[in-house]
Amino acid sequence: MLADFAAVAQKLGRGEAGENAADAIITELRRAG
Amino acid sequence: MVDNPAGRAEARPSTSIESTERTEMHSSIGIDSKRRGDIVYFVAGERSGDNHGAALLKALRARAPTMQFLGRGGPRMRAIANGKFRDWIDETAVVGLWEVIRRYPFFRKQFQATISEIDAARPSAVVLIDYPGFNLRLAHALRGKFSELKIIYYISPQVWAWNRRRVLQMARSIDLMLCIFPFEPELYEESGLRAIFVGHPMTSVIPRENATPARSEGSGDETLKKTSPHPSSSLRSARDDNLIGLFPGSREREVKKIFPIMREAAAELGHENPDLGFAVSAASEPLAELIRADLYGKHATGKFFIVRGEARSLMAKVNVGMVASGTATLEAALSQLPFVLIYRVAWLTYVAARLVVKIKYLGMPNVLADREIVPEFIQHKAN
Repeated sequence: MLADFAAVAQKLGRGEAGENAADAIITELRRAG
Repeated sequence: MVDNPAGRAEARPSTSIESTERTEMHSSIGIDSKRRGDIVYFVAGERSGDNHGAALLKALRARAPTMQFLGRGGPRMRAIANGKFRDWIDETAVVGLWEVIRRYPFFRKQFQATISEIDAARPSAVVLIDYPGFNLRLAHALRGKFSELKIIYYISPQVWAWNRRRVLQMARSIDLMLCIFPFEPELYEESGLRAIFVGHPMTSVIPRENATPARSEGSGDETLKKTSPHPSSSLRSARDDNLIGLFPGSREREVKKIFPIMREAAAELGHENPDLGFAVSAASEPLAELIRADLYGKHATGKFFIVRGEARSLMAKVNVGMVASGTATLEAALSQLPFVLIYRVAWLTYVAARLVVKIKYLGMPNVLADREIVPEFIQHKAN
């Protein structure tokens, strides 16, 4: 079960959701411009 | 992606004076001729949304120092945004349908006030953070009024699990969905809603080693092997072998339905192994009271103790767990806590849910693995 949990964790990213979301928003704003 | 789905309203005409003023305010981000490219408006309505929003604002501030943050959220977002950012979290926290109905006039007023604020600020984008009951309606209303406004949704709502048609409605209102599960972009894009997987915020707050992938010997990734301990090593060494964690949920009706099942299972385990103790996680004092009331007068209740508001740290201490469905199942998996999933609702609710829910598993670890890595004991199987 623990190895399965590690695989699940890997699928969820590496703790950079805020940074990735910020990059996506900046890109979206530039795209709009 | 449908950039401008049919049915959107035309852009509101602006005067030449307005256009001149706005042009002068434009930043290096890039803007159109009607909206202020240096302003982004945010809406978060729950504590978790405030936490996610604060991380997002911090990252945006680092990338675009001149960007202005307006909107509504909690104290953490407000501390970063400064200025005209409203902390309304204490007013928006509601539990249960009845409380939402009772406070409908309040929410209606806030809804209209939010639209008015956005109308006055003319941001280039609105970022809606979780809080789907309010934010999905807001997206719809904003699209009807401001066709040129970028509407971005962060922390994708899991409506794909029970109502795919709702996703079609969302595609007409929202420009970009920032997803927290890797399989979601495909589900949203089927409906014409552009979507990007950005990662799950929970991986930021659960210790890094827990989220490190297990590597088999000979995987070829020597760097990872050297720098990252096996996920089970450091964390599991701190656990109490004789302590079992019970996580019966964060809502009153969940605790009422699910805790007695967990308590009975725990009592049987305690009968087989007298050394075992049971730590019960209570999300709040009222829920702790419910749990105390259930335990009162029952056999072997001395083996139970209640831990209030510390679910995540409790998950790092207990050896195995019983977890009600919800975010806690993902927290448990990321905490490397072996557990079984237990869930029970009223039969009418169960039958209705079976008719609309489109997924094979209830636990998110199982959904992500696409197989039952965590045993699920649901409804009649939970006894």
